[in-house]
Formats: sequence, structure tokens, C-alpha cells
Amino acid sequence: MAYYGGWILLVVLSIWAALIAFVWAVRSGQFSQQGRARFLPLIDAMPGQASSQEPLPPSRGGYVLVFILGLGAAGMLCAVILSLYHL
Amino acid sequence: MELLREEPHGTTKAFYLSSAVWMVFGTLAGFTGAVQLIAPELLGNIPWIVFGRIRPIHTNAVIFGFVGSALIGSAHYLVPTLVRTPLYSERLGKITVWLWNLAVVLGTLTLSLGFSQNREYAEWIWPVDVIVMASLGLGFYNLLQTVKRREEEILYVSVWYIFGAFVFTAFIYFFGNAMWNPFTGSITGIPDGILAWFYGHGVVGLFLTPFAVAIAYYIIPITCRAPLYSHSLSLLGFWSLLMIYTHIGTHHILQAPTPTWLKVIAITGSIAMLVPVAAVLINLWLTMRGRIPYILGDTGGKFVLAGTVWYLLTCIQGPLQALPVVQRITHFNNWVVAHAHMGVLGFSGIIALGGIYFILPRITGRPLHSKFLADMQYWLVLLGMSGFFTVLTAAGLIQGHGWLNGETVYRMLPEIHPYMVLRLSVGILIVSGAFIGLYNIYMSLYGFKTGRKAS
Repeated sequence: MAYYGGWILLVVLSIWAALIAFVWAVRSGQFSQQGRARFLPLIDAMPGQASSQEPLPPSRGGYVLVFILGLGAAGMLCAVILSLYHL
Repeated sequence: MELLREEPHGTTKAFYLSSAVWMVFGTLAGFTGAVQLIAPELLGNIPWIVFGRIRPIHTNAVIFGFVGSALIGSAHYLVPTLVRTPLYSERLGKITVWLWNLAVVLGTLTLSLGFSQNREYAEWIWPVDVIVMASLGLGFYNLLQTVKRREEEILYVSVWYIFGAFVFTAFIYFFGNAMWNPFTGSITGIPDGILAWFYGHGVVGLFLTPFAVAIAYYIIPITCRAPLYSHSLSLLGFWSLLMIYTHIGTHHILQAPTPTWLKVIAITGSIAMLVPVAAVLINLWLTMRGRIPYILGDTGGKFVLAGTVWYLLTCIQGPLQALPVVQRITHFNNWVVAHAHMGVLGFSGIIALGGIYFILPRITGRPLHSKFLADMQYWLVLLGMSGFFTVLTAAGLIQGHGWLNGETVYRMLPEIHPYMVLRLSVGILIVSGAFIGLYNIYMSLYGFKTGRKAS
């Protein structure tokens, strides 16, 4: 039980840190102007920030990522099937 | 002093070069460990690289040295850029860089000498922990002072994630390393296991994840030339991450005699993690809807997009394997090793590299030394990661299935030997990618040719 003090201290400190940040955010209007906030990365502050890349044909790269998604799904499916098998 | 020389974006540059160096070192350490899994006696019994030492050297060098350096370096670019104010102090930033590197060097050396706290990702001993905390504190202070002087009143979601990462990393690092117990870095009994996994899981979810998500939220709108789909949704994701992620680490020790109520909290929290993850990914993917070819046309953007794919897989797999019935198959075997590689290399590592390649031309004012080499590194790391995932997942399922059928660990070892050979082969791709990245990043920073300007 001696460790409870440490746990409670951690919980209290964490909640206080989050609450302080949240209250500050509300008071300083951080949750207003959400429409404008969407554009903030697009406003150039440094020279040479404009993105100049050219779009690639959709046949490259993207399909590999879709394949990886399929690979991941297959791995998870195997785990679920084996789990059910061993129920 | 030359080491602390102030120059524009000097902190970010130094962090990036550190990251590239540690990627080479960390992957070589992993490669050495993989060799030992195939041929334990091949390297002799050299004490400072036996498996018990080289493994934590590898994991810590990759998490803190490679991925951590790149992510914190990007944070030192993103915050000033997004609040339209120069970094408060480049000199302080340089001190942060050197302290961070000192921690990784000392952590590596002490581990190789056999000094370890013996808890996953918290192996570094107390003096190293102090240096890590000091570096985190300086980085936080520097960015906080930058934000206090900001010209942009609204903090973009990336800034929230970055500050969240600093604050909660400091929390979990201090408590997770039991820094009030300098001689052991731990407490005793089952509570120590709970504490260790509160930290072990948090180091991915509250250190690497927020930084990586911050980078993705910054780079994707720029590369696809569209505003973020919803800033409100992004903030919802941020606050829900902090609400949920902090208490799910116990799902690593469901088979241990931890309190049932804590297991229930950990499992339900793990499933609830789908909320912040979905908030991030739906937001990013709706932002890039119909514009993915633009992202694939940008070197940094391409890395980040691939990182989000691994993020999706990691974060669906996480809740799934937190379910006790699934975990009976997937735990204590190579499945978890695959999952860890997905989180650290596939998701945050690849996004960290994307941040480097996206930001480097912007801070040097020149194009990358070689877009071809960056592309080559992309494919090597992506293929290597896919290979790791496939091989380790298969090996893990074989182990889990065999053990539930009553096979002993000893009898299962020959079964997974071919997979360990494949793992080593795949590792060559990652190590090669690391060397290519180091060369390209170094040349992009210091090997420029006159007359080449960033477009």
C-alpha cells in the first residue's frame, strides 16, 4: 500500500497540469476561430515554404500502402482465428 | 563556443544530424541482436554486446536517439513557424541537443558496461535519467518562451501536441524510472510491473505519438494544398489522447496478478483509444481526400502518409491484442516485437524521417542533396518494415499457437529459426536505409553546392 501515495501524487499532478492548460485555453480563446485555425499551416512565415511538388499518377506508391493495409488486416485476422480456435 | 554557435534553425539542424547518426547506430545494434538470435555464439562472448545488453542499447538508441531526436528537432521548427516568432534561444536549443545526445551516449555506454535498471525502455540508470529530464525541461522552457512571445494568437493543434508531449513525457519519465529511487530506478513487486508498463506503453503513446501526430498535422495540409478538415476535431483528438492513453499500460501484464479493476480499466481504455486515433486519421484523410497524388509527389509528405498507414494498423492492432482472448495467442512472443516495430519505426520513425525531409529544404534554403536517395531510403524502410511485420507476426502466431498446444519453448525455437533468418535479412534493408539517410542528411546540411536554391 506504500506506493499509493506516489500514484495519487502522479494522478493529482497530471490532472492539474491538464486542467491548467485547459482553463488557460478556454480563457485565451483558443477554442474560438476554429475555422481560421485550419489554415494556419498554409500561411507562409518563412521564405521558400510554398510546396512545389508535382502530383504523381495515382498508380504509384498509393497501391503499396493499400497492400500494407491488407497485410496488416491479414495478420490481425490470423490472430483472431487462432484465438477463436483455442477458446 | 563552436558547439553552441547560434545560427538560424541550428537546433533543428543539430537534432536532425543526431537523429541520422543514431539511426545508423541503433539499427546496427538491432542487427547485431538479430544475428545473435540466429547464431548466439557467432560473435563470441563479448560482454558489452551480449544480447541482454545489445537489445536495450538498440531500443533506447532508436527511441530516444533516432526517433526522439528527429521529432524534437522538428518541434523546434514547427512551434516557431506556427506561432510566427523566432525560437526564443538557439543557444538554449543547442544545449538541449547536446544534453540529449549526452544522455544517449552515456545511456549506451553504461548499458554496454552492464549498468541497467532492467525495466523495458527504462534501462538507463539514474544519472542518465537526470540528463534526459534536464534536456526535456530546457526544450519545454525554450518553446514556452517562444509561444509567450508569439504573433499568432491561436495555437494550431500541432503546438498543442508538442507541448503535451513535453509535459507528459516528463511525467512518465520521472515516475516510470522511479527517479526518487536513484539506486534501483524501481519500486518493488507487482506495483513495479504496473509502473514499468505505465511508462513502457506511455513512452510510445505520450512521447513519440504526440510529436509524430504534430508533424503529420503540419505537413499534410501543406503537401496536399488544403486546409485541415476540422481543427475542432483535431483538438478533440488531442484532449482525448491525454484522457485515455495514460492508464492503459497494464494491458501488457494481463497474465500477471495485477488487480482486476486495473486490468478492466486498461482493456477498456485500450479499446477507447480508437477515439483519439480515429479523430486524427479521419481528420487527416478527409484533408487529403482526392489529393493523395500531391502528397506522394513530395518526399517528406510521402513518408508521413506511409506513417499514418502504419499508425492505423498499430492502433487497430493495439486494442485487438489488449483483449484477453486474443492476447493468449499474441503475448510473450514475436507478435509483440512486430507491434513495437510498427509503433516505433513504422509509425513514428517514418513520420520522423518525413519531418526531416520536409523541413530540411526549408531551413537550409536549398533542395535536398538527393531526392533519389531520400526516395531510396523511403522504399528500403517501407519494405523493411513490411518485412519485419510479416516475419515477426508469423513467428509470433506460430509461437502462441504452439504454446497453447502444449509445446515447450525449447521445442518451438527450431520452428521460428527460419523466421529469425528472414528477420535478419530484412534488417539489412533498414540498416542500408539508415546509412543512405545519414549521407543524404549530412550532405543536405553541409555538403551543399553553390547556386542551388530551394524552389
